[in-house]
Amino acid sequence: MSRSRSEHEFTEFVASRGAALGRTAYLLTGDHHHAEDLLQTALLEAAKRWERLDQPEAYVRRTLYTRNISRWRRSRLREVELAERHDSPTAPADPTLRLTLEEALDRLTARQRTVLVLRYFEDLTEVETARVLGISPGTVKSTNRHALGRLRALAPELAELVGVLPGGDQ
Amino acid sequence: MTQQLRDELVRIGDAAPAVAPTPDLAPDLWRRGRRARTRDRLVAAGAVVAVVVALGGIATAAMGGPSELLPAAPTSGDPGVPSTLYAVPGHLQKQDNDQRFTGPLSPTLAVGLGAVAFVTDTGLPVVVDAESGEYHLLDLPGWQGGDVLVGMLLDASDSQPLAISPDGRQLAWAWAEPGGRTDTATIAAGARVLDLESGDVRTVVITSPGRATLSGQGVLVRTLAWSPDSRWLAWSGLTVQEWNAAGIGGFSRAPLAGRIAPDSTRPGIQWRTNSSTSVTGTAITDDGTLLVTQQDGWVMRYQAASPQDRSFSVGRVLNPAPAGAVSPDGSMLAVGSYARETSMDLADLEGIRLAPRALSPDVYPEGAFVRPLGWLDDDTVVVLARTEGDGDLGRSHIAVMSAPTVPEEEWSYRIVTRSEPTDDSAGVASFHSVAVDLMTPEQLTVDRSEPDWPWSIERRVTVGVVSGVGVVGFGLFVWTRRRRW
Repeated sequence: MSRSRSEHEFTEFVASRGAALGRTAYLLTGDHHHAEDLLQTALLEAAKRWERLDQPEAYVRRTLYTRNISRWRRSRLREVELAERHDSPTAPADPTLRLTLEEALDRLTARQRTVLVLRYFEDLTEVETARVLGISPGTVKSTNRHALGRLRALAPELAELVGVLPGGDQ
Repeated sequence: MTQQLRDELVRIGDAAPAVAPTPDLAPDLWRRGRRARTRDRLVAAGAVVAVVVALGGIATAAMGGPSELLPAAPTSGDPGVPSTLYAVPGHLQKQDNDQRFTGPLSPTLAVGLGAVAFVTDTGLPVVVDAESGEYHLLDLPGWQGGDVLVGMLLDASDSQPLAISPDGRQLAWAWAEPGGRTDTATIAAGARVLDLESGDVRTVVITSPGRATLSGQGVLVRTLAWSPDSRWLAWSGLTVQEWNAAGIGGFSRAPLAGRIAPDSTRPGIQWRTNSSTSVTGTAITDDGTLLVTQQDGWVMRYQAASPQDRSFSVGRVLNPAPAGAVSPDGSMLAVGSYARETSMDLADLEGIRLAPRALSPDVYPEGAFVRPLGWLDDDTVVVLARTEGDGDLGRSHIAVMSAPTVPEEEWSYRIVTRSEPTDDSAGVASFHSVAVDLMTPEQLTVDRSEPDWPWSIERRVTVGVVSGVGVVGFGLFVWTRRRRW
């Protein structure tokens, strides 16, 4: 593959999939600037090894997931500023409900949040989620359960959203 | 419900400000990506040269990315782990006929906050003071490491009978009180915990159900490990069928393991592990979950409320070394390895084994034995590395290294504490444990001067003779001169 062709394909990929990947990055981080950094990091990693990638989008998504967890772990060591939201979401259909879910998501660990995003936004199965994160399906299941339980504890009004799941998960 | 949650997440994503890359971003990313790929290749080639040049000092292996760890702080009064560990001179480790140490032992067990604990190769326990750097040679009640026979059984590569807590405030050790040469009673043995600040000793007697023998019986505790929060204590051991002052032998096939609750004097729940393999190490989480590493590679987790509940495996590691270290968040266990290529394995405590973490072949061309000592944080493991021979790195040194969960391009490795022999040191120390809570990314270690060791008798005699000759010689000179006057 020639260099110019590789660059063209990469540029096309970013133009066509960038927005969707950006939404995922935002849901993972809950912060616009962190999401931008995360997405650029993942795309940079893809650019480094573009010719070797059979499925670029899968690679970029996996990088988003794992880098976000690593970033969250490192940030716990340093003094963390209370999040000052730089973004102001536009009014949704039910502003009270949506703000509560966002605040509750902010209080999950990166791993919990990532599993929820993969399971319910990316629509991955437990097995698929386990594969991309490099953990066992059992861990996905337990993390998912803990995350939903935490959401219920943080915001009881979300009970309708995070009630009993198919398969008996709470 | 599922659809509602999905719809809400979609709405959050759609309503958020766009995170999509701008049109000019892709070309910029492409150029940066190409440059980074070229640079990585150059770094990989140059790292060999850089490491070879640096071997004369402290090696800082470049693993493809800059290290976030800072150099050791200069000498300070702040408590910390020393950057150099000095071997205890042999003349301070003399033993009498009963194998009791007769050297300048600490007059008290209340020695204060400890940084490192180790055992000399003659079996003398030592705690390095975290604040002064002083070496406290301890007379621990019931410590059997000085006994030649017991010492042989406590093989340095397969035991951890002495362990300082991560916060440096407690010291745990295996103890026993064998009877006389003809005694046949079950002996008292188990684990003891010393409060290094008060000097109080907590005794836990561990017994094993079994039939009486002709020459004593007791549990030889071989491994001890603290939880990251310094509260729980894990142990493993063997039932010894014949143990008195005359000798020790006859081990049961089924190793024992258990956990001691915070501040408890009871041995707690005991498990009898797989009788077809031996236990190479134990670890325990902050919630009291016991982890046992077996010689066949399986890592077993015991989370039961009673011994009847079955254990279940976490995963299997290659050639496990003794002891493991649990991460601060309790989700991972780092296990050392004897395998030359694999230095450390990481087990996800809720799932399967994760990728191994290898040492740089440039720093360790012949491989190294690695034992995790604790975690600096959820991404960085503190390890004891031991090489064969006496190279510039010394035979043992303490290092900090990135866990396999960190992206490979961000891996870092730094040697932080080296071992220094003394002129008449007996050999290599063993059973190192470190108060990892005293290590921070900003201050990994502190510099301490070598202790002012008490002189040996030989040195005193030599100095005395020389001094005496000097005094006599001077006296003769003066007397001769006066006669001339």
